[in-house]
Amino acid sequence: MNCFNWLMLQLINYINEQRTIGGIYHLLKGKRSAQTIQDAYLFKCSEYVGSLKALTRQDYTEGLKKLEDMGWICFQGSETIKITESGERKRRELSRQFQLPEGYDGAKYEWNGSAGLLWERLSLTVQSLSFLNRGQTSFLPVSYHQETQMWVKQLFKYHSNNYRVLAERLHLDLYNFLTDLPEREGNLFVNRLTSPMRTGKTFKQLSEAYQNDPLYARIHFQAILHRCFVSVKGNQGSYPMLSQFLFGINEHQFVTKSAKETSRLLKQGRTIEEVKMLRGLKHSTIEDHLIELALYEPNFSYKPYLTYQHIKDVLSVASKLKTKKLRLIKEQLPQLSYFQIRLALTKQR
Amino acid sequence: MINLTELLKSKFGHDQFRPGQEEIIQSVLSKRDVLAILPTGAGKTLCYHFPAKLMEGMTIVVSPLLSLMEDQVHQLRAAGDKNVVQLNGLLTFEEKKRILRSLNKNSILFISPEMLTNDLVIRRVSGIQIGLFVVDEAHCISQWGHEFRTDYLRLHEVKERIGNPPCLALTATATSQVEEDIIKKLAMEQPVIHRFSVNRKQIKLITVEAFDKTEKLDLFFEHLKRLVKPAIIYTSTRKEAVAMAETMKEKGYVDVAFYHGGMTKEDRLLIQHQFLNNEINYICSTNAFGMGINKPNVRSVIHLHIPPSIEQYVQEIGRAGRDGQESTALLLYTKEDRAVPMAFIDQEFPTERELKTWFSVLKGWNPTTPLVDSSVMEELQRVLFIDETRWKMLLYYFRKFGALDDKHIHMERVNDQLFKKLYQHFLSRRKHKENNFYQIESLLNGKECIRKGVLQYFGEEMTGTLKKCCSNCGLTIENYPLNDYSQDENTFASWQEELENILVPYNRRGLLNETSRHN
Ligand SMILES: Nc1ncnc2c1ncn2[C@@H]1O[C@H](COP(=O)(O)OP(=O)(O)OP(=O)(O)O)[C@@H](O)[C@H]1O
Ligand SMILES: [Mg+2]
Ligand SMILES: [Zn+2]
Repeated sequence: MNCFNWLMLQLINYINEQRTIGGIYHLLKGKRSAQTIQDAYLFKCSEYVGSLKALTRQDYTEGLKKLEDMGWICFQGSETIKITESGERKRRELSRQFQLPEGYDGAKYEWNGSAGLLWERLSLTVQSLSFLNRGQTSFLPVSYHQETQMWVKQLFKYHSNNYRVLAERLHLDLYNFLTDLPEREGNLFVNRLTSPMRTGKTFKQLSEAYQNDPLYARIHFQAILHRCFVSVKGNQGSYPMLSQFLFGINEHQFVTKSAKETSRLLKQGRTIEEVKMLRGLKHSTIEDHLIELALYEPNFSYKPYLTYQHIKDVLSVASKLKTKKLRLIKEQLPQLSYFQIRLALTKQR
Repeated sequence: MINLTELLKSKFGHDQFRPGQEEIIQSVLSKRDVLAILPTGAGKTLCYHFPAKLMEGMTIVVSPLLSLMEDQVHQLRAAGDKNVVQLNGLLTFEEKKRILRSLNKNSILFISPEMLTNDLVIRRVSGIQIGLFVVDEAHCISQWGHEFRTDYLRLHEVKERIGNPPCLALTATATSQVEEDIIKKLAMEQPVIHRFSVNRKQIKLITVEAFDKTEKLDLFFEHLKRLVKPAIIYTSTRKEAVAMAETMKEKGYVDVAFYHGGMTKEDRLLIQHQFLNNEINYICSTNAFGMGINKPNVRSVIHLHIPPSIEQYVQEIGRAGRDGQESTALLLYTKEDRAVPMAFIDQEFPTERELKTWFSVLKGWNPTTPLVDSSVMEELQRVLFIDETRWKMLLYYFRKFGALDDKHIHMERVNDQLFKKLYQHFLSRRKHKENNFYQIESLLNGKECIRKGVLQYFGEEMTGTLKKCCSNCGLTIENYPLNDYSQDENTFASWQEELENILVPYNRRGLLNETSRHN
């Protein structure tokens, strides 16, 4: 519960009245939209994105209500909230108690489900090997996702169904990877695995080492997966087996498939108008795609949409007014469109 | 004529049929509609699993609870059946699509009534030859169908649309009234009815009234010293299940967890599997975990509230002793406990005023607006200020009484007459539910043999007497020896050792050498 309050207060503090409560919700939940992507970078809270993936609107509303009842936040109108003085004290206090674990990066690994996918592959593979190597061919799989099941089958086939060798290699890699983590994290990870001797534990059951907070245990667990990406990518040679688990999982893939398609057409030299026609999309949708591309394409060209001077103007107004509210910026720069302002703001990171 | 017993041995590994099974299977194989009433744990699963393997075409099994579906699918798969699949509301859209695509005439499909009444599903399923239509836990039609799961009452429509395959309805708990209801609501044709006694001799029944909640808790822990584990502890609400698991932990029962319908799917599965694997031995649960679940060695079932009906009580205690060994069902209650089930009944039905308001708001609704659009439906639901469950119930009855078709509400039929009809219906259903509760209350208040009372409720006479029967026949917890559970310390050694155990148990030495080389 406390970890939940901490995350809520952190995000509310980052946003600092510049977005609606809906915007905060989308950040916590990791909504796949251009606006949320841009906000994540604009408000420098990208590592928090998607940290409460399972959050329902109802839980969120109730959560806010509790914070309000405690006097830690107050509503400014019905759609924006502000952190109060005692709320700020509480946030600081909680921030001493809770921290994002080392290596945790929501935007990179939670947003598009990379960490979740890696875990599905790992846990199902470990489970399958542990059962098969004991001659047990019938068991209840920890993952029902057909895709994951197919993936594991492929992996086995690729290794000529030599389960013993596979298990040994995987063990070696996991052992080496976990040894670099704190002992507590090694325990957390292995406790989540399911084998014939033991069913995986829930985060509630593993929360003791994490201030009795299941959510905090969960975040640490996800962080292990995030670190796995980093360690394995940075040293493929040391993790011959684990690196196979990362095949086909992109961290920085475009958050939406649709934006990817737009990017493809633009690269063919089509104009925005043409893309709009061809894809039957609204102008604003294409603009959203461009924002995504600006955030993720390393060599995205601003030129067709903005001059260098425009970008400088927007950034200086934003910093002078200490705001990220588009309306306030536009009041100062009426000659620019909202889209241009948003695009310019992607430069602010 | 095929030799069924031989098949039983070769395909299922059982030496002989249990009472009732062979007759039921024979009737099903002769393609009659069949209603089978066999006690909990008697082996009803086999009554459809067996014919499913012999009959031409796909088998559909309608199942009410997620936990039950999981359990059954696992057991059938473990018995070597790879064609078993399930469809329920917790799957993603993609997964559902994939499963629907994969169906064929050898499939055994477990499905919730809500999914089965979905138009897309019906269309897909009706393209496949269907050999058998099974409704497991068929008493749910009566118990839940009329109110919060009205899709149960639409199963006969589905049955018709998929070409009226032979229908098998199974339950442990059907009074003659429920029996009638099942036959009617499923539109079964001249069904063969196989009825066996509901009695489970190996389950000993104890009921104890506590003075108040505090004493109830004390008594619970007193009893727990003697009641054998594994045990299921039933509470009336999710909150209580969570709190009770916490309290038990504090008292040193570390191998406990809670279970309820509000948990994530992942957590639910983990807890269920831990329990089935004897990794945890106490589970505090709402009624989301119960009906149909087959864990052979459950030794005790404890109720910390009064179940809403004798049916539900019998279903839940039926989790005990399925391996045939002696077990105990304890029901601990106080007078105050009646408030919760009564409130549940209250919530289920609209009051006269509410119903009136809904009607008058509806009348102001533009009658030409087609209802096909789900957003219009949502809007309407919002205007009426009505929760999902009751909204579905209302729509069901509007449809039933001809005031609603696929596209429109017929405003001219939303009149006083319909109001009276609905109101009368809800009133009598409410009475019925209250009555169900009074019956279990009076069973508890009575001085007569509890077993006898239960049997009477299902229209049976008790034959003979049992040695250790129930608390009204002289059985008390003091007759049980004290448990001697040495503190189950957590056996998790270190992650290094555990990981090795999981992946390379056969090769300790060699592997350790290899690891140290690597470092
Ligand atoms: N002929 C048989 N011989 C031995 N064991 C059997 C036989 N038939 C069934 N069983 C076993 O009996 C146990 C209980 O069966 P099942 O789950 O089908 O009961 P059920 O009648 O459906 O009970 P419920 O009403 O609680 O759902 C299972 O473990 C099953 O394997
Ligand atoms: Mg059953
Ligand atoms: Zn008795």
